[in-house]
Amino acid sequence: MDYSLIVATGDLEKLKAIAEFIVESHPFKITTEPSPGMVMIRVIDPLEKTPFYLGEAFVTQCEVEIDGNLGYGCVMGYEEERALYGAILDAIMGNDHELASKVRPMLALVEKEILQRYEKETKKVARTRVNFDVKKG
Amino acid sequence: MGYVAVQGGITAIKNAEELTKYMRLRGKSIPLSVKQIQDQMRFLVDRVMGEGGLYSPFHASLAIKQAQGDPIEASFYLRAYRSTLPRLTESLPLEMEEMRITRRISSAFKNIPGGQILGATTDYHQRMLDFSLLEEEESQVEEFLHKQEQEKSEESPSWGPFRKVVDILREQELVKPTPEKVEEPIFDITQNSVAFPAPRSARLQMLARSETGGILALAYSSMRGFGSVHPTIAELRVGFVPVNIPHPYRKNKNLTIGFVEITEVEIVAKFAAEEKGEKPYFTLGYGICFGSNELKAISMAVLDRAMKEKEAKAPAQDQEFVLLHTDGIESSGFCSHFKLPHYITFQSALDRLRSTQEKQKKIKLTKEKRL
Repeated sequence: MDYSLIVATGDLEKLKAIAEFIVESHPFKITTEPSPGMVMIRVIDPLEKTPFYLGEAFVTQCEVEIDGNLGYGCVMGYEEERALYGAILDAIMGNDHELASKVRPMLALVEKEILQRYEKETKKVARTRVNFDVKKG
Repeated sequence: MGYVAVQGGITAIKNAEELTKYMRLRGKSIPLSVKQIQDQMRFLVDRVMGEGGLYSPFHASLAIKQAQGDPIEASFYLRAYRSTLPRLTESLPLEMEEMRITRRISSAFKNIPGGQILGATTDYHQRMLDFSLLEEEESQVEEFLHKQEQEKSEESPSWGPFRKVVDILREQELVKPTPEKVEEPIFDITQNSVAFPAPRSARLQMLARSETGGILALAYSSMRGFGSVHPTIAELRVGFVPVNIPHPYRKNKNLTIGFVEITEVEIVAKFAAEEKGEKPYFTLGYGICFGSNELKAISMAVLDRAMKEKEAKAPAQDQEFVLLHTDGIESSGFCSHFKLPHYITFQSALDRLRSTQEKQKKIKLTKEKRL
């Protein structure tokens, strides 16, 4: 799972702990404060392969600098903290910073939780799988 | 004659606003939290997001609270708020194969690869009021959720892949072969005025943010025979699709920024050959919208198909008729403006009526004199 997906859907407290671990030894500077914006969502219609715009999604974006490396975070929703942690993680993971190898297993734990949550939901949905019989006569 | 504005009335308007707030709160019940609306009014939230054109469950819920439950008013607030936000970028095209499916049915085929999944639906409920909800208490909710949490499913379900039914039809040469990806620039209705005939990208964007009731009415007219698209649902899916954007300064790196819940429908309609003597295929329609809103997605697919007719013989086949009359914000705005004072315009109509009546009276008198 890509680190941005973990940022977008992982437990906020756990992401906060990872971000704190990073900035404890490598101070950061916010170059763009968490701020709202929109991302236009593109879709390709499956019938005629026409690309079109479905509508916009509200996002929060943020940018930081750590050891001269820029990091950009962008997440859907009104999520200032998450966007900040995303930017911090991007500065480390996206630039292959020396801390990346230590952060990777921490992210893997958050990923595991996400997958467990998905599996739980999938099992609930799977219980509604149906096989209608065509009525005879 | 044009509209002549009025002025004044500030005190009464302010008092009317305060009265509106009072009407919401006078029952002295606990104020609704935005989170409650977001969690428990999900279909309404989805509808407002779709019609407002902004995917944000939080802001849509706030708008619903402010609009006191009026979906069109709430969509208006959301669309107005949207206009204050900067557009940062465009997403990469949604990859529908990556959808986390929560519901998926086909009314065309009994057996579809991956299976039919009812998901959370009320389709098979009897429409009877559930009076037990009157007794719903926090402890019951906790108990229910605890039970759900503890529920153990013995095995992991075999899950997916969920191939698109329309692709299977295509393989069997029942629908037209997949065209090459269209490279024409995407029309953006939020930036440009639409002229007719509109490009397909504009049509789909307009339908995706149209008002549910509006497109349902027009699609229903077609189903009943005015344009005659009797749909068979090849596939209806509801689920969560990841949204990816290109990293602003890292080449070949994409960021996943979250998931968008969507409803997607492909309908099969009557078969036809493009030209006489050519191979006939089933014709198709496509519908998609934010959130879980199946009536809207099906209606969109019906209208998409109906508007493909070369010659419009019914309202639902006429692009301009369909697309210009189904935007909830525009139609409600126009309808609402009639509530504003039209004193001068109406005075003019009164003058004209009185003078016409006077003339008619004189003519009548002259005729009587002659007699």
